[in-house]
Amino acid sequence: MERRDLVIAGTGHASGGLYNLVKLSGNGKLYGDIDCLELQVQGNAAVEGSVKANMVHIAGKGHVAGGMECEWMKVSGSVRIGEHVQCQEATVRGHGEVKGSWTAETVRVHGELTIGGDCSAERMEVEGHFTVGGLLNAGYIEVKLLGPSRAKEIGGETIVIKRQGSSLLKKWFFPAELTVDVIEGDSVHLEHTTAKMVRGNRVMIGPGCRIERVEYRDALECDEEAKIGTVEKG
Amino acid sequence: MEQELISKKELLELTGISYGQLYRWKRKKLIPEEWFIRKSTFTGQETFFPKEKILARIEKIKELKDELSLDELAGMFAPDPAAVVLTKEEIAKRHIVSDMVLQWLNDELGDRQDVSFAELLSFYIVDRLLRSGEISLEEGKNIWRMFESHYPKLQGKSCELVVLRKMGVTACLLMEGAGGLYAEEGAKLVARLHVPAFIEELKLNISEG
Repeated sequence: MERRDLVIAGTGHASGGLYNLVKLSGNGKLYGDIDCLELQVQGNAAVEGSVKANMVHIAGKGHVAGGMECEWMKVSGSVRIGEHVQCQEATVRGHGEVKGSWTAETVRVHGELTIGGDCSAERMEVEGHFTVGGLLNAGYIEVKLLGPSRAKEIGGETIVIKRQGSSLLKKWFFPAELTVDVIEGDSVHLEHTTAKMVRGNRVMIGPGCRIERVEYRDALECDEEAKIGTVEKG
Repeated sequence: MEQELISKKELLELTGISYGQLYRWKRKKLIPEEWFIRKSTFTGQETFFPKEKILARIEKIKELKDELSLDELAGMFAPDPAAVVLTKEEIAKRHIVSDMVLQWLNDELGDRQDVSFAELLSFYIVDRLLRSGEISLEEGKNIWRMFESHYPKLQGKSCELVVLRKMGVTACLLMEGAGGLYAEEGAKLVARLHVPAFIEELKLNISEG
């Protein structure tokens, strides 16, 4: 089937299907699954199905009821996806919410990220705060904490959690802290993290951490201000 | 029939791999999700693995990872049979199944030359059972027939083949996933095979050819 362009400027709706470029400026709604090369949203868009695309660019607000499969995803504003996401590279500036799990090569988030299931990537960079319902699994994880964050488990090769400076008011009401059950990695660097268990080869526990149990193999470094329960060298 | 489990910590010590490697292999789907078994212990939630399977798998990954990329390895371990079609000649040449089963395969397929992976898989598994002397040729044919009619529904999923015998009467079944199995008294568990393991073997066999 031939791929044609779909352009909605202003308010409008269309059915899903096979397209080349889908451009929604204003208030657009698509009924059904869409398969396109490029999806561009400027404004407010809702898809009552799943999205398959090469490139997804959302400036404004996007809501996908189903899952999303794409190569590149760039969001400035907010995106909400009802099921799983699979992509190569994603950059979210603003707010990203995925009900299911997220699989990607690279994920960059500036702002807020909420994932219901697991998140796995080769590289994951967050500047802001996040919630992961399941396992956050990445080769390289770098988090600059700007607000309360949570994950059930974090595992990977290099895990770096640091706090960014924030305003006094924010510090009182939304402390930039990470709460997690288990962290496991080859090289782990933590700040302002509360965890039941941290395991790694080289572990560095920085200021503001409360860790119930630390197991390390090669090296352990602890900040004076960190509270650590039991330590075991294995 | 309980399988022995190994904790994540023990596994890493025993195999000498790091957390990073384990997580990377999990990400690349070299280790199936269902092998990560969560159990609560006194230190909180811990992850356990089916010991035999995971040790064999890690051994194989270590052995092959210099030759194949992780993605290629993942393709080999996936329970989804490759879209491979072999001809009868090739099967004979590579000695994938014994001569007797080859003869039977010839009879079953008639003039058709091409054999799909799924078809070959069922012959391969039956051949293995026959060779180990656990079943008779007649039982083998029943297993093969059952496989032919039910396996397509399970394709891409992990499943087990179970063969039971009581008072000389044999029954076979395909089980999705890897749950527990409890049989009545007097029934003998003739064989319980993890099908993905054979898929791997067969894929290796074909790619090496």
